Amino acid sequence: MKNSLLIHNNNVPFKNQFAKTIAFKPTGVDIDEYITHDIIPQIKKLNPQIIYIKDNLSSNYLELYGLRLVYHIRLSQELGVKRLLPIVLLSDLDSSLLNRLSSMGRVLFTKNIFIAKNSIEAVKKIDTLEIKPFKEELYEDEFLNLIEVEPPKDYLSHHDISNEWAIYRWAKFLKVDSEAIIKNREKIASMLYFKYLLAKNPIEIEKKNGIQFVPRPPEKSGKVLYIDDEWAKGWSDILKQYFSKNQNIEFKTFKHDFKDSYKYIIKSKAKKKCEEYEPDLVILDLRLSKSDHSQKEITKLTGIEIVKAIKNINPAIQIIMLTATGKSTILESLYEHGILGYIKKEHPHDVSISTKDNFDKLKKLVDKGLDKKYLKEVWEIQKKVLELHLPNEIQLEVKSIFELLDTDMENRFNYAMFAIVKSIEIITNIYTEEKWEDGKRYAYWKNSNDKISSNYGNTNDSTENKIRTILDEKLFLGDLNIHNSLQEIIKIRNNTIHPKQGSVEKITEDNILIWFKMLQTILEKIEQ
Amino acid sequence: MKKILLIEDRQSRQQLFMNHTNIDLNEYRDILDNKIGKAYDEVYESFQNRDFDFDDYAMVIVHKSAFNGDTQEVLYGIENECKNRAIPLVLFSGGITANYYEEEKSFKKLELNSKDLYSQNLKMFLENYRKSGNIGLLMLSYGQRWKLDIVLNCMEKINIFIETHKDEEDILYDEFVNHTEFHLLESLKVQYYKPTIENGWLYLSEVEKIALSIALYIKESLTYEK
Repeated sequence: MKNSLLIHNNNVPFKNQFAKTIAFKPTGVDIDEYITHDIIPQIKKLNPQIIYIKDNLSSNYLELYGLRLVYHIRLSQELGVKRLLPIVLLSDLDSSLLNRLSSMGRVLFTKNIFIAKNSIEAVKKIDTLEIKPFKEELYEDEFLNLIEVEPPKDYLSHHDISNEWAIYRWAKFLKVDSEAIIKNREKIASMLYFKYLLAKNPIEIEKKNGIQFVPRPPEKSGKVLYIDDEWAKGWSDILKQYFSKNQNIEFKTFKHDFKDSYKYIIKSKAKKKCEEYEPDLVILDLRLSKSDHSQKEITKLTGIEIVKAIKNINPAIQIIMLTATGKSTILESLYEHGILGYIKKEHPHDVSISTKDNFDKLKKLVDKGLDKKYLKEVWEIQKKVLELHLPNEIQLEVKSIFELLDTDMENRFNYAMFAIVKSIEIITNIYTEEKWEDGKRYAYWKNSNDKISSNYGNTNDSTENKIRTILDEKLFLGDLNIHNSLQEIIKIRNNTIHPKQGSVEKITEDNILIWFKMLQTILEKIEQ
Repeated sequence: MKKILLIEDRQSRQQLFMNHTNIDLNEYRDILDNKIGKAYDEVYESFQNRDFDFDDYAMVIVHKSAFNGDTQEVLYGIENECKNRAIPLVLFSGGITANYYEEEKSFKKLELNSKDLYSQNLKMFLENYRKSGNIGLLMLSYGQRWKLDIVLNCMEKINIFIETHKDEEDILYDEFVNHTEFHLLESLKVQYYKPTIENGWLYLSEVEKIALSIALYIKESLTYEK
């Protein structure tokens, strides 16, 4: 038979009739690896026009490796158009029995796959057929959509499959080629199931017009800590590469040996790492210990317990969950624990997750999280202020500052500024009181007939005059920066309430930090 | 009777599988040595020290992934011991995508997925061993279909025999049996056409009738399969 190739296990008696032959002899290795590394390259090299395969390629007929090989040929992208060659399966059974024996038998009903008896007459008959070529554009309709490849049976390893699949995709987009990534690629690239997944969900790095998709890095600056039991499998390398595109981001991985670690050890070490490193943002996995895989209560998952521990250190540390879980009930409940958002790792069974979308989402979340990094300092100031012996009214105002800033409200900076000014007003009420005289209002020192000086602001009873006079005459706080800040915040407060055309100033996180520190200094002085 | 040795580092996974399949491995204590938990640690140490006594066992089943990286040498050691003593070896792992059987001289090795091992196949295998003392490795891999596998192998050989002898009219019966392992069918109590043998010879048409009857047996087995 001209330009034909036979793949056999010494069980085709007329093998010398074929132009080329390959003896199928796996030796103690995984069968998918053997096919990928030994058989597929030989097919590529021999360049036949038609391939004959005996259905049984081992000493156990039921293994039906011949059928498995057919799938490999059709799904091995490295074969290019050769993966579409006509294939004849030589069998002792008919297609209906092969289908009863194995669900893989359905490949017999796809384009250019033929079945023939293991006899020279049957093969000669096939040789006379005029086989029309299988065109690439028909690949999906006439093959891919008609077959299914099942994942490895052990359902407990599905978490691994999902993880390896996601690593493979992220690494491809980011062109990461570290040792862990290569190991992951080698592990999965030969697996028939992954070849199938890849054919079903191709990685479209290149758009049709030739423009490449390049994941955009975040734009903000800050410190990012990554906590995941799968870090060494390639995730750490992937994220390191991703964040390296922005030099203003410092990225660190919590390099713990999770494999034999108990939950309480993981939790305490992760907490310690957060305390030492003081990250602005944490990327955290949900399931980090062995016990998590049988844990049904969401709140007892190691990831959630670490979220609580981090929020105890400083609730302003932003957390993004990177998880393989696909359960929407779990994912949505994560928000109840104060996380910024979540990234769902790509799952072979959930085609709705796109790697490109994941990169976009990650960028948005990281930028949003790092935008909030100033809140860590806000929280520290608030903590120190609340340790002072303050009147309840001031305590309430101070407490509201962090809460207001930790929202997505558009006017959160304005509201925080009002809370600071309100605290200042409460302070002025401690030291001064107002009295009416000749139809005019004046500020007096409390329980006294002495008017306070009028060195600042427009009037004696203005908030600016009152607080700055208190600083001068009662607290002896002559710090020019404090005075300037007071002048600024009151001016901006007034402008915000009574805006003059074009004069409303935009309040920034830097303003808030300066003003809150100023308030802290004043309150500490009062405490003294 | 010698026992079957099962070495499993992931005790909770075994428990999960057993709950799932409703099999209590403790019921097979008389024939199964299930090394899990502390017993696993002890046997592992013994393997490392190379002082484990394999003589008490008729077969060894090992979780392949328990011996990765630095500890892979230990697995090679187990395999060598089994090979030298002709003790059948089963390696299982969740990562094994297709079951694989290898027979080298008198040493038999089977690699299979964890889910295939911890299934009704294991119960069938253990009960058969307890009853007959035979190691039915194929039962672990194919369960109820283990007989069918032997019949299919036999049919393939008969068809090859027919193809290579198609120009001959009569065949030496002994030659036919040697080439096809036809005798196995007798012990499996498979219904097949009984050929007419004259003075140690039979017609090729008789062989073809055998092949047809076996094909029919296979068809019926699959049609009425539970």
